[in-house]
Amino acid sequence: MHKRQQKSHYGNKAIIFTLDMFVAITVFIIILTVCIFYISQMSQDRLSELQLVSLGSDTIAVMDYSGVLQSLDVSQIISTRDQLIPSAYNMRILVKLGNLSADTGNLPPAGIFLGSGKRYFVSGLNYGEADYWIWVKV
Amino acid sequence: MGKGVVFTLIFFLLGLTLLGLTLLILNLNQSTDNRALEFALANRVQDLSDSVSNGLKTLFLQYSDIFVYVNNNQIGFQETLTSNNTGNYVSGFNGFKYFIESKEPYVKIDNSSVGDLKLYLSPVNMNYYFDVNTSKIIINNFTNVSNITISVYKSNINIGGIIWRSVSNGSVSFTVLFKNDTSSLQQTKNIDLKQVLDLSLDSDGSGFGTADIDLNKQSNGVFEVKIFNGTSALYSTTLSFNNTSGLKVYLDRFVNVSIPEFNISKTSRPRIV
Repeated sequence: MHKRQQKSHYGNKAIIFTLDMFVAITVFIIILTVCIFYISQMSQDRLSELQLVSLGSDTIAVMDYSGVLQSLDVSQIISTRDQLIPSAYNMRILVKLGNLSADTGNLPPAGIFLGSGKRYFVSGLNYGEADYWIWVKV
Repeated sequence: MGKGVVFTLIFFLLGLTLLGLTLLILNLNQSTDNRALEFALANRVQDLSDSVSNGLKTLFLQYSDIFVYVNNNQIGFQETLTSNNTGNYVSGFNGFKYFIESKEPYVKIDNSSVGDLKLYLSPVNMNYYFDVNTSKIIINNFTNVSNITISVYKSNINIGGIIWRSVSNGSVSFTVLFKNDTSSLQQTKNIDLKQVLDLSLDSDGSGFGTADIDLNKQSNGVFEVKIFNGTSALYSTTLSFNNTSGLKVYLDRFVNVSIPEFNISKTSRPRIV
């Protein structure tokens, strides 16, 4: 009788211990999952994206100061663009001056970060604007 | 039993610690996102301001008929007065202003009295402009100048004489040059800029009657070149400054770009030279 009681007491303890450990590990896994979920929601590296936009902005500014935008010459715009941006990047430029326009034509791929901006300029007594989109080549 | 409780407690605390660190990282990332957004907007404001200023500078250089140069501690102006191009400049300026402001609600361009082509000289804090109403070239805050040269050229004007009506001796070298295609007349005096200066360039040489060009500096620091009888000529002014470097010339009209929601704003004058 006494032995049976002892056996029963130690068996109950073992069950409870196992259950307790199971609950603890479950709670820990839940918390870990929540943490991983939050971390996965964090955004991409913003600084490199800002750098991309700055590159586009500087490129367009150089084209403005050198008169390339005002020329509305697509081949000259493409040539200047290719000289100024590293080969790892691509850039589309759309220039409008009055009723005329020039477009480098390359469309950015879907699903990647796209930096963009706009610059205004003057040519004679006409006013123009140049839009740009810049991205990292896939 | 006690061991089980401790085991559970440790796991629970580990989990809480991990959660706490995650929330910290998340918060930091959110803060970085906000800073990145503000940085991007500040870049956008800078780009807008730069492109608008460059456009206004281009209009000025093409249509103002004023040539400006800076050389070490010297600034020079050369302009034809009266100019036939001022109308183009004014309409170009106003047209550009309306073009920009219609597309960018955050941009405001000051176009008050655009026709006077007022320039601001930094760091000497002077203005140079032509007052259409009084037909005068005006340079205000006319101080700290070590050397002045003013020349007036017109191909067929008679050169009579230079009449000094009021001048005080001093240390500033003041040269006046009056010339046409075949001859010229130049006089230099060392003057006191703090005193009144009054002289005329006289085409008939009589010293009487109406002068063609009247140079006048009052003690309040304003220097004026009065143009009479619609005399159209090329006016050149060269100013040298004492102990001054980094001279710059700006168009004295403000371009303001601001995004009040993010408390980002930039106000600047377009730089000419």
